[in-house]
Amino acid sequence: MKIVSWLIKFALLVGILGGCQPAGQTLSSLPGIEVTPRPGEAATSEAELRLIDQFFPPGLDPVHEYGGWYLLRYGAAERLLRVSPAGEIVPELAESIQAIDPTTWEVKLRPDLRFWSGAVVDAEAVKASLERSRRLDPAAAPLLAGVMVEVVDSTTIRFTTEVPNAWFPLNLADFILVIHNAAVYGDEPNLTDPAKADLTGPFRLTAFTPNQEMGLEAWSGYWGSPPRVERLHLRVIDSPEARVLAAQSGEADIIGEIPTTSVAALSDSEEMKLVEIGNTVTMAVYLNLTRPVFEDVRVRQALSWAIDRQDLIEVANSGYGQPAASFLAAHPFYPEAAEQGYTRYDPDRAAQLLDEAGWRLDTDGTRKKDGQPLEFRLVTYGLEKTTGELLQNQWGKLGVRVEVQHVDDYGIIQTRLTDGDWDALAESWVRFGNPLVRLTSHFQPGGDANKGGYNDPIMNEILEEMGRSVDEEELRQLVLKANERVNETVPLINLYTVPDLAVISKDLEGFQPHFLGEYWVTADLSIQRR
Amino acid sequence: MGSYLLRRLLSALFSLFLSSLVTFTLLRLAPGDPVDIMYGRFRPGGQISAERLNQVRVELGLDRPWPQQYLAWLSRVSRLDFGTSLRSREPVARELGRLLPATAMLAGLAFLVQAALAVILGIIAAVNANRWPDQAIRLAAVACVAMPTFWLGLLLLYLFAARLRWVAVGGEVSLRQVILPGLVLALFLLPQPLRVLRAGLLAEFSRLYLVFGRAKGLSEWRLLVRHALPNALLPVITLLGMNLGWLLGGSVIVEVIFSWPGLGKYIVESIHLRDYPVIQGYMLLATTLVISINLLVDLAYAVLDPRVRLSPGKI
Repeated sequence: MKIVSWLIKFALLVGILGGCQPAGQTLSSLPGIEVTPRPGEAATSEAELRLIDQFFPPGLDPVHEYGGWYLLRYGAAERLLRVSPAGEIVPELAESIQAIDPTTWEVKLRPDLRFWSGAVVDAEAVKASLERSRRLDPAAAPLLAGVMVEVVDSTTIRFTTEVPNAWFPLNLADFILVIHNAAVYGDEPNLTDPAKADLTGPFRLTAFTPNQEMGLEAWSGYWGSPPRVERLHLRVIDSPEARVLAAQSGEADIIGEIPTTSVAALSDSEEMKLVEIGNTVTMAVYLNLTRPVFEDVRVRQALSWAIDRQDLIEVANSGYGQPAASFLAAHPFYPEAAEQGYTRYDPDRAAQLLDEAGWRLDTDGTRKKDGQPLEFRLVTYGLEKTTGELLQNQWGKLGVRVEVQHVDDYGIIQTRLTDGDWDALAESWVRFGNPLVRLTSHFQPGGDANKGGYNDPIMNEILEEMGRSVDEEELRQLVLKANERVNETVPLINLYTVPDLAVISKDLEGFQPHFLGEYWVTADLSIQRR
Repeated sequence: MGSYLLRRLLSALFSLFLSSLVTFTLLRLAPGDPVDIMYGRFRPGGQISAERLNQVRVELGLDRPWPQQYLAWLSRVSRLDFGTSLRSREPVARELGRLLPATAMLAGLAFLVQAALAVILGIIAAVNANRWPDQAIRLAAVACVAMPTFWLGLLLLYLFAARLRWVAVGGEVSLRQVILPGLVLALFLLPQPLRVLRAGLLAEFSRLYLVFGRAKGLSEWRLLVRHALPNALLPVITLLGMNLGWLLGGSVIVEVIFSWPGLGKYIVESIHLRDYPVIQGYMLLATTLVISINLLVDLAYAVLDPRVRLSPGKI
């Protein structure tokens, strides 16, 4: 009975202690754990902005596993150039960029730039930062491949590319190339110590617990307009349902990665509003062109015509997102691309194409050729399951049998791709960026996103021409020509842009959605709580 | 006792070795390459060359034959070096050490609540067998088993975080924040020890020694607490020990729903990313915890049950 009595007393004690825990009390007995104020307490100060996101960087070094993207998002980091919310390349730490000749670019830095530590951001520091990224970050190497970086004077850096590259400024605007103080970071990635982080953004890091929370404070030495809030506190909540509950309770000012299935639950909130942060991630069905079923281009075209993209958006994404009629439909540089390709739902045209290709509708409702049914497997991953099932239904109406195979582990998809054990795969990829890189990676033989073995001589020729051309208008026409060629040959079927939803406080001022998901936080952001 | 402990220690070391070997083999057989997953999935069209990816594999030691990789890992572990996470590049021991307090806090609370409720409700159910308190407890136990933890978790979050706003939805480690996930886990694990204790007590109630005790004039309370309960508790202790091992391994669903930064959530992410050293280090830790708890349970048996203590060859 002593045991029972002891257990009861201890349980009661824990309960009482838990209930009586003062706000913000630190659990010093638990190493590595920091406790933050509860919602509605210290955090209600207008000086602090509260954010909730799905992921955190694994470390604080911009060269380590896309850490730069998160640091940009939370107002800690900057690049030489940036992409504006309107999709234009504009200076950030640079004052200007100038093409000297087709292979040479000169970047002039803003005057009096400094890192958080007070160290000067001059041409030498920028060069050291870029070289460190090239050396340590596998994702930076392709952006600076064959690029020579030279210091002209203290505020001028010269970039020389091996071949003409009209889109080189886009590379400098990539989140991978965040400017950081290489002298402080050294050769080993700085992972968890905010005191050792040295960047240039308006908010400097003050606290970091991996996969849990991050603290930032306004930096008075910022070159731009001074930040309007004093502190930022970010938390990770990786369950989508829990993020929706957090949005309903209003316990943060910005909550990201809201699932489209929860839109209705958030529509009547008095404190928060839903915003669509546009996105260039496009959902598509990649086709394994080595499969006999996809040999005839008319079959591929028919499958694309037979998709009611608006229906996919309405059902799978609660009406958020845009139909993607072509490969570059969501690229802000090429608004014409949205008008190219499969701009409408045309089941009659689809049926006609299949008839022409010899796939006739049988009495059992299936299209057959030489006694063989028109059927294939569609692999889906993560959130794409609903889309897969909708496609199965839409193609089923055409007489095409589709077996949806859903997996939640990307390693399985990788293995199936490597082994060639797949017919079609629904996946979403970023389409923004250097169009030559995007097109070659998808459509050049050996490209890292050319999963289906696409090899089209005409496309190869267009891509080669793009690599040689330096004329801006000519390049533009070549990009659109390549986009059109993708529509004709259909190595993949574009579906829709994947919506990126966030919930923000109605008291928030200065929040500007960025289609790349960057810059949640800027110096101009402020909040006046009611 | 000394030789018993030595045998158990040797057996534990063998179990650890076997567990690490099985984990290592299964990981290598599982589809997916950590470098491809880390740099391929989220950077489409980034054109990271195959050469560069291979270079990363070499840097991480993933290019070497499996036996060589395993022996290298084993050698490091013997020096208490559990390697470095492929993803974060942090020492695995430091990462696990950082997350263990949160898991221990959650597991500790869930264990205590579960044990306390199991004992109290088990006694009430047994003493009132087949009457309304017993039936109410049975119904509640069935409800606890039937309710999926994620559903109960979300329901509690909706009530206490979204509506009443007594707690935050998650992402914080504090005594206030641990109550809901602790309660969910405790309720999930409660029915089994509760029912076992009830059945055990009912079996004890029909034994002759209690009749004899009553004849001697002992009070019902004394008979229950001093005689029936210690006997009925033995199988419950085994169950509670197993539950504690399970809890310390990290409870994935509850940790995800409540954004509790413990081992369970972390290990699932590591499995998705094929972070081999982390998974291997975790498995070693989890196996050690389970073996240690089993040993403690066995020792507790010896203390609580004189038959075990006096039986030659058992201890």
